Amino acid sequence: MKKKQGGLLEEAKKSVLLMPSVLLLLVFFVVPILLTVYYSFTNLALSGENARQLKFIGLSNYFTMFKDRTVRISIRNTLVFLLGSLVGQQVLGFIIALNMRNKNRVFRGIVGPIFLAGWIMPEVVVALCCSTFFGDSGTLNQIFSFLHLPQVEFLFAVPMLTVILANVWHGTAFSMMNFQSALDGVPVDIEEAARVDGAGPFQTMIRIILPCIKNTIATNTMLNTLSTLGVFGLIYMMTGGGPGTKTLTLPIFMYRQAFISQQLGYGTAISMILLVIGIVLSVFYTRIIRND
Amino acid sequence: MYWKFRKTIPYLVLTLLAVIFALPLLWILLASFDVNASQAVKIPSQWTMENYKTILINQANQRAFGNGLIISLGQSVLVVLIAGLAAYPLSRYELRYKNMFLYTILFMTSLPITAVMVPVYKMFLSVGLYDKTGGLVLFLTATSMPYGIWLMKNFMDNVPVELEEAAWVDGASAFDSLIKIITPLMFPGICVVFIFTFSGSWGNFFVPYILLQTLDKFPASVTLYQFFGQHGMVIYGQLAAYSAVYAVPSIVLYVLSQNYMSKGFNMAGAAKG
Amino acid sequence: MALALQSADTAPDIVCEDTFQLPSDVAAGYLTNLSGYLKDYKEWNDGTFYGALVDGVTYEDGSVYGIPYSTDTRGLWYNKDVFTAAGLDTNWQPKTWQDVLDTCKIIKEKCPDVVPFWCNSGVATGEGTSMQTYEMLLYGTGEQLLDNNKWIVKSDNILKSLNFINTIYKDGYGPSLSKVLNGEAGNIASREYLPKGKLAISLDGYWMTGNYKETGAAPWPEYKDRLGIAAMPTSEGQAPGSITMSGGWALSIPNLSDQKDAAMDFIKHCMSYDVYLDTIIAQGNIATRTDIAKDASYSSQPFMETCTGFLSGAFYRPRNSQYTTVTTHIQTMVESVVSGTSPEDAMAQYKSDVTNSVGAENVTEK
Repeated sequence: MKKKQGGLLEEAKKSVLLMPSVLLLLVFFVVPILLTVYYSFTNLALSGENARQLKFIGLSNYFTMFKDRTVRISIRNTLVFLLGSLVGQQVLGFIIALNMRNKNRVFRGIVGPIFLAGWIMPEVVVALCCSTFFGDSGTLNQIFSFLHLPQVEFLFAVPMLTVILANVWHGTAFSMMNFQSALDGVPVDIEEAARVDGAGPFQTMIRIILPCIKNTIATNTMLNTLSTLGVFGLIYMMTGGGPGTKTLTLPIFMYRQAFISQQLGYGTAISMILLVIGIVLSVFYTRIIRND
Repeated sequence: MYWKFRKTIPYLVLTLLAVIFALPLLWILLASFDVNASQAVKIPSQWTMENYKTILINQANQRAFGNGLIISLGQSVLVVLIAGLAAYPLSRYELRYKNMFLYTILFMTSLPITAVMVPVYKMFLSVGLYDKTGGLVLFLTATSMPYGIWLMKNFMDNVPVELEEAAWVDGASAFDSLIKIITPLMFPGICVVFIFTFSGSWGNFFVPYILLQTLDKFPASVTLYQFFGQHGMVIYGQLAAYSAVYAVPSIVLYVLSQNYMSKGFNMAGAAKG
Repeated sequence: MALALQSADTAPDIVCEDTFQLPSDVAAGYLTNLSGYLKDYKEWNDGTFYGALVDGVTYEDGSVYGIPYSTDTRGLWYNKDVFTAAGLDTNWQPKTWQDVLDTCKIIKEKCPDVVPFWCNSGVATGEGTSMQTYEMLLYGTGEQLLDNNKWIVKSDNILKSLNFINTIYKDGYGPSLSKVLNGEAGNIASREYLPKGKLAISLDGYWMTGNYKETGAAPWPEYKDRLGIAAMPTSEGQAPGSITMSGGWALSIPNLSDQKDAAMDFIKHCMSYDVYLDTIIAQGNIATRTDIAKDASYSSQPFMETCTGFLSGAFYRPRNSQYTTVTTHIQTMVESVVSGTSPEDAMAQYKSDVTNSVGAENVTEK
């Protein structure tokens, strides 16, 4: 039994405990979002003449953005990074989760934590592990030389692939766990019945398992998309967005514009792209949960 | 024969994947005990604690770990307190705006914080919070509030109201029953929120990197980056030892929280559909 | 630094800035106009400071915003042992860029384990890449960054400069990218590679020799004899034959300082003959006072005479408040070429970046 709904005064009294959160969220969450929108229409800069007076310049930053080659490059890079990470993390996560089902307990006990470790590690450690693993004289190149394969400067020759693999290493466990709990929910008897009816493993997969976990795939994709879009540290630490612009994603381009070139207004306009994508996906995500 | 072979395939696949996944981490482990460590995984010719000693007696490193602890503890405690308070009316009362509020919160949990960092930085500069640990902690707390409130509310919903009703009859305030009745019952939930927040905060690099400037105030995540950002002349053994020490709280918290976490994960999972 | 200058709480009373940052910070209103303080500063008015450096701290409006604290010049440092091993003349002075490339080729053939040529090439080495590599090349073609106060964003000479860099890396004369594209590249070259004979030629500044002194980071007692310095030639050897960029640091007073008079007195103290003589020698930099340049304890330092000599024809970076932004685009352009982007594409990228940053009305093509 819950307390009954009262008048406005009553309602306000009940909400007192909410106030600290609301205040904090308003000041440090809502205001920054509004500022993002506002600054993206200004010439805000840290240095140079523009630092002296903040001017409203309308859509100017946005027009510039449309003409900016680097914006196009970083959008493309962001999409490649996103797609690569999503496919890698989810396919691997699913394969692992599927194969782990009904396996020997001891085996699971040994293998499971290894996959989890990459996920538990703080971002900086992930960047470090992967930088050395893919380094000039790193483990992978040692293996290559053992197999008589040519040496590769991974971080410079295939930088995008390298940061994607690093992110996959880091994020696979999250998908793995989601898929594990989803697979646990697949009714065994239906699967069994299908097998008795002569369905092969492939058919069972398509007809039974995938439909059962399609919601998990959807939410997992959405959550991974949102977190992958915001990835800054991993790429920044491994390649700095380079060499040149080869791993320049939107967050890194935003950082470079704002803090290296000191053009905060323009940097903010770039982060608006991220914010808008984030908002659209978040609305979707909220809808899905609401309908559940 | 064929069946036997088919049965071993999953084991082979998993073992292969596990070995690949283990290699990058194995490097940290082995290199940290090797004064002559290089970039590649190798067994130390001589096992030594020298790297750890060097790292740990360095005062700048101690300060960095201390800073990280202050920031992460501060943030976690604040999140638990403030989200806990907020969860009470959301869980116990009928409020007109409740659904709207909850969906707004849910919506906020998934926004990429990266996108607002530039304005936050400018805002901090303008109001004098830039390069202040307190300001950083407040901002971090705010970013954790959405999922903090969401989880806390879910946990609180699981605590039966009947227990409280007796207390209400005795004239206890909402605050009293929150402290005396609910808190002990939802302690596992509180731990989950605390651990989630602490781990996230301890590993956070971007926010302190942007909002702090003074070397002495940087948490371990930022100093570790600076340490290896200067590739080339790096002493790999010490770098590995530093990362190992830095990763310990994340691992310990994870292991400690296994029980709570699965609970938290199901909750979050339930929330995620 | 720009951050600290924005607030009265954090503003220091004296700042020491790289002179390229000066115009931008003056435009932002961060720095004090020093002209009023200079009327009774004797050394300022009697020509003690190098004229070119005085120009370097004078803003568009004709006012002075900083006192030159140190300056520098750049050239090609080479390890004579490597040259001997490769059968080259240890008294080296290339006449053209092609001479440099030919020398690299011989070194690569004769000493395959040695890196022939090193220059700052990445974003991580920041201004060092813009000024010390790209601008040394570009100004050596006879072109500059600006033409009539408009940024040149597309020209044959930009392409020629990028092609030189491209050849260095494409033909394998440069170091591995993991070494040269990180922030410590300059130190790896000067402290490790060059003294150990793992590097033949390094395009670097005079201060590099500070490493080799007894008190330096990588003492090298024989550096005076084992190291050579050659002027960087112009592209085809055209007049003036060689080229150097010069920069340096200046002492300024933030606008928000509340102790401006005391700050100015302190700056004068730092710049007084005896105090300055000691600090400039300790820094291993080139002095901004002509009288110090003649002091025996200063001028007797190895290579000092040659490097000070470079000053006479030195070029300086544009005094333009947009330079701080443009320089970051230069770094990206150079790093792109180094990591395999074609010079044409890199220049197109530069054009787009600079045009967006400074506005279409401030750029031009040649």
